[in-house]
Amino acid sequence: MRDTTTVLRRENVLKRPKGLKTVLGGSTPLMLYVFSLASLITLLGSSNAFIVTVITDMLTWMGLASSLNIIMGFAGYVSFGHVVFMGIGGYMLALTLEYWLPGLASSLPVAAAVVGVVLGSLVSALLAGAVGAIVLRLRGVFFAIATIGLDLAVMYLFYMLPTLEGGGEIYISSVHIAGLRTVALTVWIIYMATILVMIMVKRSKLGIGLTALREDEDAAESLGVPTFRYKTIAFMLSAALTGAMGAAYVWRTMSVTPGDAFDLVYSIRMIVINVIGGLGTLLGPIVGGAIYYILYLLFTTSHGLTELADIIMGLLAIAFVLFLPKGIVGWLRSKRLSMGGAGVNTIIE
Amino acid sequence: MSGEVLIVKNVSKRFGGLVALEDVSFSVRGAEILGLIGPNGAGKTTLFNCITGVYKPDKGRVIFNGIDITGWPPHRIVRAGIARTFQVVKPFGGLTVKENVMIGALFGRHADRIEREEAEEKAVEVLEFLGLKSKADLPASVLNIHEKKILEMARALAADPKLILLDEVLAGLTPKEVEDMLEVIARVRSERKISVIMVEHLMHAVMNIADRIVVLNHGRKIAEGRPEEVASNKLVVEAYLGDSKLALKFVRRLGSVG
Repeated sequence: MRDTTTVLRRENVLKRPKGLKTVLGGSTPLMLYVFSLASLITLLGSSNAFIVTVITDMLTWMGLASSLNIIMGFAGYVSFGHVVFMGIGGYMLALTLEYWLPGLASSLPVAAAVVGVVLGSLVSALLAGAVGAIVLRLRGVFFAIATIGLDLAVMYLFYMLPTLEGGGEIYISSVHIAGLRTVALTVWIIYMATILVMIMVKRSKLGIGLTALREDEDAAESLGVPTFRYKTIAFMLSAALTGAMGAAYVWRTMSVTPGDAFDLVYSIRMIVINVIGGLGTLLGPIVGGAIYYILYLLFTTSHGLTELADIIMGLLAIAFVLFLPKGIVGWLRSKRLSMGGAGVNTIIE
Repeated sequence: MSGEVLIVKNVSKRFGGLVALEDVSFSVRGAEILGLIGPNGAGKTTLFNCITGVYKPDKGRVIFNGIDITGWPPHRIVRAGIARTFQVVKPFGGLTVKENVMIGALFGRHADRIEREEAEEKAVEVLEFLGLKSKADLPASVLNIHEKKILEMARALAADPKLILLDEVLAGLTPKEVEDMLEVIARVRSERKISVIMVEHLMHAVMNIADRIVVLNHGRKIAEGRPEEVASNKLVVEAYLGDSKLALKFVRRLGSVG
């Protein structure tokens, strides 16, 4: 991580070239702030545990999808095994609470959880940096396959982790868990950090370089974009945010097992949410996350549909790829452009 | 004419058993137009790729403005001041023409300090210079081939290079467009004092505009000199234009075998 920060400072890549208004950079959608603020107010104000749980869950998925958007949407690199960072984040939190700092976790569970979240994001970023140095030289489908391999390899490593429960499983003691609202706020903070980093990347020189390399990597490199370094920075930022959210996820579910933590289904969910909402857009993961989660909630709470939920969501993703490949936000944007109206820019884009 | 901007010294490049370049040396002076010609497969594009860092030469050095840039990655070489265009144009189709050119400016020779406004000014200025300003706000994907070639040139010029490498910018253009493009190249040199290396198949065009010509054949330099010297060089005539009697013999022999 220190590597990234020095690179960022030297290159000044996160500095926003002043006043970018067009596709490069883009404006920040107002809806993003409105939704984020509304969810915070609800989390703080609601005494209904169901509502708080649902919103927390939804924010978790929006945050995860947004973090994937940085590498998959902006740079065009499909990280199929992205769940590996979620799993590592989860394990860092569980290990911190149960093995490394149990004393702190009993007296100050929130402080211990923060340590776990920070560790989760640091270790994820370091792994992304190390692995990225090799696999980011691969393009397209080969990169995607390599990330799946990474996920499986890490999963089997964690099966060998000598925990008390055995088989790499860790259960978090209930005294190490904070109240529902505290956990919800932790999730919100990580969600918000993810959104802000995503916006910052999109508007910065880094984001412009990523857009260029997504369009044509050879052309970008030959125009002076340090493609390899930019991809690596994007991958590390993406991994760090996924790792942080993965840690918070385990703090909520109170247990972590290798088979669950590194389950590729989670990767697919992050991808599907982006595809539904609109890859590479700021609002895409939020719109996609809302639609995905509301439908998922409907299916899993109605009789007879629970088992079909993943099948239906999978079919929905196929339908989007076939008929609305730019996702809902991308489709709205092209609609607006074809109508020649830029006035709603700040609302839907 | 000032001193040498680029020195290519004994550059060799192999791909497996195939010799793409063998001990090629030449240099380019300030504000000079150098034509690089040779039959298909002579190694012209490979030479471009060795200069711009796409390939690392197996042997030899590339010296730019007195600095050894051999083996540098392409983006560093652009920042040092060498820009290029591609034979097959590579516009960023999802971005506007102006945005394409702005990327050239943002990541070019002044990448460390250029601000967005300056990049935009630079883009507009370059587009005006090349006569493409009226298309600035269109998506690059809607341009025709001539305009796309000009866009390639605009992105390269926006980097504010000292040397520009043009890979067949005339290919696929109508005679009128060729004429316009040649005028642009001449102005790039005369008004901006940028050195140019151009790979070209259109013999008469390159012979007209270039100060000097380097001829490659099978990865070796077989001739170098002023256009009229090169045109009368026996080796060049044989290699590039072909020995007509010999060619006819080959065709006949192939015919009798087949």
